[in-house]
Amino acid sequence: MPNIPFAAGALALGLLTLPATAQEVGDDAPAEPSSSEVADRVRADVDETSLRWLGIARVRYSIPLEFSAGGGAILARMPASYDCTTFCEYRGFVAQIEPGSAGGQLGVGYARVIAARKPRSAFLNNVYVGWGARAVLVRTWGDSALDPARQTLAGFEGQFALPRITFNVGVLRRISSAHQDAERYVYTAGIGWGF
Amino acid sequence: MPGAARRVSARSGLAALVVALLLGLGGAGAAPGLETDQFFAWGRHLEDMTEVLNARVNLELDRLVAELNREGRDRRCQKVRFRFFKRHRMLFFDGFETWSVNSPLVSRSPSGPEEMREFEQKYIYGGTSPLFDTGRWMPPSPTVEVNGVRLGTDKLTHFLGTAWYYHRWYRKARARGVTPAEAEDRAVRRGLLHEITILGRAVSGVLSLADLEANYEGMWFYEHLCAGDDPHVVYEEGLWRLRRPFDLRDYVTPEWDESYQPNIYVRRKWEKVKPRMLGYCPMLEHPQVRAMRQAYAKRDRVTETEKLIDEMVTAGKLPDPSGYSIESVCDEAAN
Repeated sequence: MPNIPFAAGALALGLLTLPATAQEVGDDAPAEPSSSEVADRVRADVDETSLRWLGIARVRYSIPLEFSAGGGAILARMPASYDCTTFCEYRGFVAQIEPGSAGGQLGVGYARVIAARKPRSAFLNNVYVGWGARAVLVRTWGDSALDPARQTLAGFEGQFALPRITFNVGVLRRISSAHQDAERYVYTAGIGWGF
Repeated sequence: MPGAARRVSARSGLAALVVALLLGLGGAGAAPGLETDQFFAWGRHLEDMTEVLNARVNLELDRLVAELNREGRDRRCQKVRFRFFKRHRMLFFDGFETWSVNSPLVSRSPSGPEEMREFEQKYIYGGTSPLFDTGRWMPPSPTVEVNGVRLGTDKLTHFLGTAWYYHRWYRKARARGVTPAEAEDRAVRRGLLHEITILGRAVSGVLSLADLEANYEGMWFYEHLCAGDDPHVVYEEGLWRLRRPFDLRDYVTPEWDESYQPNIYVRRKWEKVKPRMLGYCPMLEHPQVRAMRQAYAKRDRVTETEKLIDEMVTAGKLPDPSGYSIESVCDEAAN
């Protein structure tokens, strides 16, 4: 759920003295605030920030997880008054867990995403553009194309998202034991939807 | 079979990367294709946001000055310009636009869940497919009013974001010894090319002349930020200071309103937009719309962008934008 502190509510109430929504022509106009008052309110609006976290989700096909679905959260600081129903920039810590048909991944890192959410939604519903860099821990299983099929790897993943599409590349290093000929590094790539 | 597994992995990985890059590049151009709909705001009351938006930009200029003073030395003007641009640059969008679509201080339309739902029904580009129309992959920009002119908040991104690139092209031409007029012409032509290709018509099916107007004015904002006879920011006696506050009124013209300055559409897009535009014909008689358009007509002038578009139309390289105006659509329907 979005985490908006009490201070944000207080600020929003204070800001209600200025018009925010369009109305049909004919309403009485409120008294004009002075330039310095406007400047003070703008400054307060920009500077009063809050930390919020929102859910993120993605589905993708990738090497080595193959088909996977991920869920996690992004924690970002932004002006407390933002409602983000049109779009916002979320910039901050990201964590995600992602089970797949040939393995699972745990990732933590940093992301910058321009996205929107529906009112009262706990998730980013529409990712317009974004990028992220994550440290990841991967465990493969089942019919993984890797040799050996079951191994644990750690590494880095970069992600770039555009409307309707997200893709990622990365490199993993095997950290579990394996036979002598086993490859130590795996290069990863994937394509999917979400963030 | 470590060798086989590696080959499979490498092949699949490479294929996925190539597909991703191709799709990514295709979509990259779509990303800045923000659309806006001033028709929806017709007949709706909007507070004039000149003071509020000016205050937002001046706050950032104040902070730029403070940042420069912390470093305590003179800087080349181009560095100062870039520092300002960097302060509000975001991924594809501009910080000022992000603020203006979210702040409760900004009167805009649509705003709030109820009006947003109505907008989704009436949006002028709403007849196109949200899946295949790349112009709809990005959020539509709400309308705000500045000095009596209604404009999409995307114009803030054009004016303070895209215009940075216009200004760079201008400066580069000047650095090569080109005259100011010729440098301006080169920047404007290059901007039009971008709007026709990756930033507009080829991707979203819309060539927005209003976007070009905002880009052009933004180029001059950057030029005069810290240079010329009347700069905003100066370095005097070892201190940076904001000598002249920013004022949007110096730049915004009726040509920024896309319901007044018609876009040029590709045929497939126009087929979807025209019926929706027709729905606004009766609104031309609405007192607010009439008064606004009369006021626009009084302030209307031939801009540099319009001169260039006229040239392109005469050369047969672009269709006449007047054919896409609301008056043209309504006249055609009436006859």
